Amino acid sequence: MSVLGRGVRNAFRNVTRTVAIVVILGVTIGLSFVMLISHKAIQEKIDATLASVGTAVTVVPVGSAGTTTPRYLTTAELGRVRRLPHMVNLDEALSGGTKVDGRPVTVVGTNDPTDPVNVGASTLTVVAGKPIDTGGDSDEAMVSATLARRDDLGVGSTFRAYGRTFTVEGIFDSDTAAGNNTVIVPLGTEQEATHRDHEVAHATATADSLVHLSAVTDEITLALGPGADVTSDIGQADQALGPLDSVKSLSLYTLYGAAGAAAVISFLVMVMIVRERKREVGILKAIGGANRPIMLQFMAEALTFSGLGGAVGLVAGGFTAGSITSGLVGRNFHATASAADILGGLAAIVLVAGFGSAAASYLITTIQPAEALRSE
Amino acid sequence: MDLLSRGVRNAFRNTTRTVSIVVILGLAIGLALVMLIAHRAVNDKVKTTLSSVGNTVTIGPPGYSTGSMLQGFLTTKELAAIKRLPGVTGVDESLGGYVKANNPPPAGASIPVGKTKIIKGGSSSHRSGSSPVKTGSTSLDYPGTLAFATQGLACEPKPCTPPISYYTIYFSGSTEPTTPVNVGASTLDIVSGHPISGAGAADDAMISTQMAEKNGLRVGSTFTAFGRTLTVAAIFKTDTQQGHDTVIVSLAELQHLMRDSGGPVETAVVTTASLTQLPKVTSQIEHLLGSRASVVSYLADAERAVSALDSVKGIALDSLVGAVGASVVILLLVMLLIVRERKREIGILKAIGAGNGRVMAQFTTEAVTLTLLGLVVGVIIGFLAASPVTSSLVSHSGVGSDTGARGLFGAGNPALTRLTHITGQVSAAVIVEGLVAAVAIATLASGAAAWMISRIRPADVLRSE
Repeated sequence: MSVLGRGVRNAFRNVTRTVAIVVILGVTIGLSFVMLISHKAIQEKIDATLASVGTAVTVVPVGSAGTTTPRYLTTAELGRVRRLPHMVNLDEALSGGTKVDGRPVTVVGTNDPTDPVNVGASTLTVVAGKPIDTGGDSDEAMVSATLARRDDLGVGSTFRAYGRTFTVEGIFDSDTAAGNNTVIVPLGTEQEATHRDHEVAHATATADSLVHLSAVTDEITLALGPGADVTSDIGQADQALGPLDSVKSLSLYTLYGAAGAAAVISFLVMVMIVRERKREVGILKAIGGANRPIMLQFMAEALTFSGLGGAVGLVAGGFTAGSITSGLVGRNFHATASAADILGGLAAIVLVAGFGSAAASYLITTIQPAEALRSE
Repeated sequence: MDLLSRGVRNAFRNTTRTVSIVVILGLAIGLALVMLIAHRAVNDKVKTTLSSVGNTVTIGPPGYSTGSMLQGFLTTKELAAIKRLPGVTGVDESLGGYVKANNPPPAGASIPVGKTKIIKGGSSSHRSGSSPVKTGSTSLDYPGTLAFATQGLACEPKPCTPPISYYTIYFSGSTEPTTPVNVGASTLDIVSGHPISGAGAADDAMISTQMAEKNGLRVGSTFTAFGRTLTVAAIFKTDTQQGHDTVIVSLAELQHLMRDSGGPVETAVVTTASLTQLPKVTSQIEHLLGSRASVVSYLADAERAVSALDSVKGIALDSLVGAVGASVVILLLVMLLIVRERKREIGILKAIGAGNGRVMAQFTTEAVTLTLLGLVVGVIIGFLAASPVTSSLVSHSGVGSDTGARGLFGAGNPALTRLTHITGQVSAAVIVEGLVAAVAIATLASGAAAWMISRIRPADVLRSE
């Protein structure tokens, strides 16, 4: 009988033992795997948090506060801001007033028509039609549901303002009275209609992450020079960054902890497997078995266990991770755990199994037949 | 020989075996403990985050944020009820005013030159409506330059310097005088003196370093504005031109200076206890003020952040459950292995007349001994491994003050600080909770092992395999 074959078959000689060892290995490996995936998921979620809250930088011309004279920035100046690193959006707005159907309304020209900030509201939902295309100076407009009802406007209807004829492309609803008394048009259109070519009264830049808020604020200040007042909630960002960084590092530590524990447990289980068979090894050596074939036999057994444990671990880990990732909206398991992660995990398993078998082998060489065979 | 002491001594009959089992059990227990601590810490940190970013609601007169004010200012009286809403932790009410600076713009700048033509406000109805903003005069000189003062003003043909008749110095009256948003800035740091109180109407003011330098003022100096003498209580440093040009007083003081008995408030920034309460507080304020105010918060941002942080909490909980579950399974199976390798011994004991009870008692004692040792090792491993976890808590604990120095431990013994932080961040209750859980698991595992033993039949065991 081949030494390796015997080693493999030894792994299955008793159901309780095989199941127990495979499950212990499987659980530890699976746990590390789950930790790896949850670590990735947590990093991703933290990044999402950092990208979604408190990242706005407000840009207004110097001196625009508290006075009755409006002041403007120019599109050219803001063009410099647009090209800065870590910027995801630059919402430029110019507002004015006109009369629609004889009643005064606020008209906001913007290049980001669905940003509720422009109409002074917390929410802005397009309830019919689609957001206007803000690329040029077309006569497209979005009107609030309130105005649409009042003036009997629908998507595709036209109305007159600034002496031009606008077509309703979308109807929106916002949560403030002022927001619902607003018409949204492309920035270029508003600039043309109010003879303020290339002028912008208010801009909101969005940083790609809270991490970069401070740098982006500084860069915008630098790019615009003393002509603009650039403000953001840096104080808040500092307060939020610390805890979120901690969460990220906590998740990394627990990953290390789980992986380390898994390695040590696998290793010790290997040691125990060999130890309980001390007598068998003693007899084998007493009847002339050389160290090498015995070591090979035990390594084959250990690797069989590791392989099975690894398989169980990946399956169990996959299932558990599935429940973790299912909590993440619109995300599937494969997207979160890349093939590289799985390969990395497998490599780690083989490595731990190799170490475990090596240690087991070392134990075998130290066994003295006489000691193993004496009655305890 | 006493049954129980045999069980205990059996636990130590072989060093390799004892060490292996104790370490395996210790690791499993330690890991569960670390996960428990980490889970608590994550929840804690998420809570801090939720209470520190994006959780503000801005209230102003309708349309103020689009530059077309439709109605008059809100009043202190109207806003009083907001402070009593559940989930509201702070209300920063502010009012702006402006005065003519003592120094005039350079001659020439104030007179239209050549073809220069002033473009009026155009169709923009910026701050129309019944704005109570009143002008006055001051003994202060404008700290900026002509370029700052005329920046963004329209004039034709371009380029040109628009004419202005006077320099403007802003006044900000607020209930929270150190909030940078009131002076249109991102930062506001007091560099000398003591910040003024937002309550009451004392004749104390805070001025910017630029204003102090331009006017040769120090803490304790006086100046006049709106016909009254004000004392400089503090000098602050800030990061925008508007901030440099602004004098900060308390809200009641500015209302008093502007002789407005109605108690006008231009904007109020309400802070909620947590991002999760933002939508509720926003709608409650809307309900309270109705069409009298424009109530704005970043609801969509908040929703995204809350859901992302909720998943973080969920994942942390899943990991904790996973680690504890894995520990339980490992403990059970290790006990099973211990018993299984001694099948033959048990068979012989039973064959020579030992009852199930005796054998179970002996093995339960052995299992509990090993588990208790594992527990000790686990607690030690847990605390050692929790040290980086808690050190991250230490390095981020004073987040307000450690920006720029993040990652550096404060003075003192880091190990001691960490220990206090373990108990600070993770209460004794959590640790006791963990220990109770470990003992419960140990009992469960011993029970399972005992059950296995009771099923062994001597004849099965003693036959040759």
